[in-house]
Amino acid sequence: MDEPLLRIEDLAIFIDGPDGGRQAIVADMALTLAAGETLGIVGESGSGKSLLSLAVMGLLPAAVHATGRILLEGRNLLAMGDDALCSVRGRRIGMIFQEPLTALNPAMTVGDQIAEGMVIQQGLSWRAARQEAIVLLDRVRMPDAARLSKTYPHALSGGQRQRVGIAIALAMKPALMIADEPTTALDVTVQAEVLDILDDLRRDAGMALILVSHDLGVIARMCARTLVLYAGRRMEEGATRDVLTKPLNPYTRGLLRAVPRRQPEGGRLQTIPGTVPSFAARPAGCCFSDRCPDRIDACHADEPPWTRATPGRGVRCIRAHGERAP
Amino acid sequence: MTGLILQRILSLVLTLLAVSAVIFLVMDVLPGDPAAIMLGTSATPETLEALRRELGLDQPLVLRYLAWLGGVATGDLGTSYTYGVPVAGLIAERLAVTLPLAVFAILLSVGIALPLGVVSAARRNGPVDYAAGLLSQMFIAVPGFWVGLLLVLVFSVSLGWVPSGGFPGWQAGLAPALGALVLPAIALALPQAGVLTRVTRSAVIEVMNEDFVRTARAKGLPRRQAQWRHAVPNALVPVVTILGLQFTFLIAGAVLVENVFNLPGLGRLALQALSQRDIIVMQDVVLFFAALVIVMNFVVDLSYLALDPRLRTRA
Amino acid sequence: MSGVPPPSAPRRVRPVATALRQGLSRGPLWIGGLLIGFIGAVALLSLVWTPLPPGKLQIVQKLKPPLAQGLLGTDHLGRDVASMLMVGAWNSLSIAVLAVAMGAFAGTLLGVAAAARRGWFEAIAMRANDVIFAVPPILSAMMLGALLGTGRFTAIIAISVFMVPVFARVTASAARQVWSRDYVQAARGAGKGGIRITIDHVLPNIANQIIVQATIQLGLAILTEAGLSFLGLGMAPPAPTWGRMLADAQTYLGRAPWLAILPGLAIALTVLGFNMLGDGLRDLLDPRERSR
Repeated sequence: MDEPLLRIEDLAIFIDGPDGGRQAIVADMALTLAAGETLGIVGESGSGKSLLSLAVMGLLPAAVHATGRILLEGRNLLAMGDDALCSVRGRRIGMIFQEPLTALNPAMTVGDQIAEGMVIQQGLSWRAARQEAIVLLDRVRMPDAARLSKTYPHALSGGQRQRVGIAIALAMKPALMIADEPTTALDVTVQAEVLDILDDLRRDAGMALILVSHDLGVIARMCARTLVLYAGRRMEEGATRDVLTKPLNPYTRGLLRAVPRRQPEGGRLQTIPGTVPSFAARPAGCCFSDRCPDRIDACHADEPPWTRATPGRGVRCIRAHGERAP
Repeated sequence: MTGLILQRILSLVLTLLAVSAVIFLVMDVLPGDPAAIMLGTSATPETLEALRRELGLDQPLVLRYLAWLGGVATGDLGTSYTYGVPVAGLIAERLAVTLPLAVFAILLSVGIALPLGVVSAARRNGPVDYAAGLLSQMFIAVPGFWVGLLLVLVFSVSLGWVPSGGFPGWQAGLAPALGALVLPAIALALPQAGVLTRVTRSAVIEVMNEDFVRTARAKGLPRRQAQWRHAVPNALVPVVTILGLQFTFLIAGAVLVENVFNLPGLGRLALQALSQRDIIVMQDVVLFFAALVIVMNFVVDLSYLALDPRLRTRA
Repeated sequence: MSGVPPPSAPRRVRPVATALRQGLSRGPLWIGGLLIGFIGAVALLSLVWTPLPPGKLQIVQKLKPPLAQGLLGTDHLGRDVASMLMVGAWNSLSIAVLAVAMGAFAGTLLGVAAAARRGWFEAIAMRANDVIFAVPPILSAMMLGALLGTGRFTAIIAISVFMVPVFARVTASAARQVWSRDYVQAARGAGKGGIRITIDHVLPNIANQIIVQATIQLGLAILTEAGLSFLGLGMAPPAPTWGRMLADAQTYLGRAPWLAILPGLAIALTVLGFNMLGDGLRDLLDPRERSR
């Protein structure tokens, strides 16, 4: 059987407590991604989706640790030392961050920031790498790329900065691109274009993409498959079309109802009552049981297991099969 | 950008004028007749009168100030009473010792503090960090001139490796001249290095948490490269600020250390002028030191433009 | 395959390390407090008792190493080093405390006034600070010394003048923050005057920062006083000062190294004490300004 590009198994992410203890933020995480495939990870803030992407990069903050296995092309990233990880980061996995302003070094020209990885990792000369950086800026549809490559980030607009972010992630033609809320910090008008650029480049290069977002609209547009996260747990996974049209988990249904859309009768936008529980104050049983409209007593008893409904379709809910709410 | 620099130059000139006025006023307002002080016990009414006229003390205050200022502006700092030579020449001669000493000490302190501070920040709360913290606390607490005494005690009195002081002059060649400045520069640099290490450490720690350092790591830069290429350049502004503020203390330290090592620098000149009651030399040296401090702070202001590209386009 | 992992953590930070870390974070306060307490007590004791009169010359006993004559040996005139160090502690501390108190008083006054008045007053006050800051106390002491003569008074004035801008800067920025708070603006809206607000709201809120700053500046004042007396710009002889003891020791470096080591150690420990006490107090009183 072919090894997938990325396979995550039994991943848990812990944070060190002030008293020396550990708290699990993400638990029982698993996913597979084939080369060239696109996966959207959706969840509210606090669902652990950003930590998940940082764990794949091996860039978790100092007080956070991961256990389990993250296999990239068959090699377990969690078992690698930092030296080995450095040759994976940038070359095999590129990452685009949420805040294009703070994610760029204010004291280095954008061209050099794009070129840097190629010089240090691939041994290109600065001259060649800077030329390549201009080509990359051109590919992310930056106007006047040659001139702008010599400017500093503060001189660029938000959308232009995020294009630089994409160019940095793209520079070494990684097999996997992780984009963490790449358009959240941008103006609505710019969001569409940045997504468009990202989608085009991904297709051209045949890269796999993990797109992390709280925005179902963005995911629906970009990703063939979707994974729904809540409070550090997988709630539902499947082809994006299936997840959005035939959700199995009450949480996914809640998310879908909360998506703003043009409604003829001007009805009120629905929300899920309550907030994501902090990882220290999870309810007993199912982590969504305190907010779930469809809960029954059994929901408070045990954490429901992850179950596969059909191939490529999974859900974590004891009421997902048969007892579907109307 | 040029507007910003012009504004800084204007502020520099104003501060210099204010300093010169204060120094002049203090010397004038304080009780004590410079002529009588300079002549000491040998004063007779006639010699006193003659000297006062020579010094221009019979003129009104404002005229004397303007005359002094005009002289300073044209490089004529007056004539030393004891040496009988132009003060400008005296200062230039002594500056050839003090300036290299100060530059040497600054380079040394930065050379010690930057790596130590960055390593401390990288190994935060580890044994290396605590050791560096202890070391910098000690550096800050020891008086530079005492470090000088101890260095002489160890390296010239006990080991006999170097002479205990004096300066062969630059005409003796670069190596002997620089050699004579090594121990004084170390004595001057250690207290500065202590302060700078602490500032570097906290500035780097702050920057290390910035998103762009993570971006650099995501490109595959090893931790050390991400630190030196991305965190350190962005942590330099506070470090350079403190370097500028500390310059006053460096000057004060230089006066003391020159005295320990018998270096013919500006500090010794001021002290000799004090003991010989050569008030014109005193006044000029103090003004020169103050000007040096103010110009240094101007240079620090300019260096912000080099360190932070965001400032270049503003204003 | 599913479910929450057991809540008990697989790896715990050892309690010893935690205790050590807490101990280290409070360490500066304790070490600094003990050092300053000890040196202060010695200084006070010197007013009523020293092993020998510090000025007593015993030329036959000159340059004796520690324990050979007295606890810490004798200097080139046969004076008892331990006694001189004790009196030197009093001379150093009293000059430093007086100078910092005067500088802190004037600087705080200037700082809170600048924050209350703003505008041109603030601009001039802060520019005046730059001017003073450009002339280190060693130089102003020389200037003053040339005209007034050197001595304790000149040293105190020179050091305290230099302290003024330091305190003015710290209090002005702290006071500006207090002024920007809502309740202060409300008090102003209610018709309270600037002086009233400064006394009722500003000073109580910035007192901690002034205390921390004063502690740290005491260390600097000790260093400056030592430098001044090293150059002969401090207290007049025969009053023993740490700085002049070092100056005298220069001649006898080879024969009596302890004369060069002991007074320097006294200076360094006192400065270290004040700096650590200041750091500790900052962590205790002013957590926002925490440096690490």
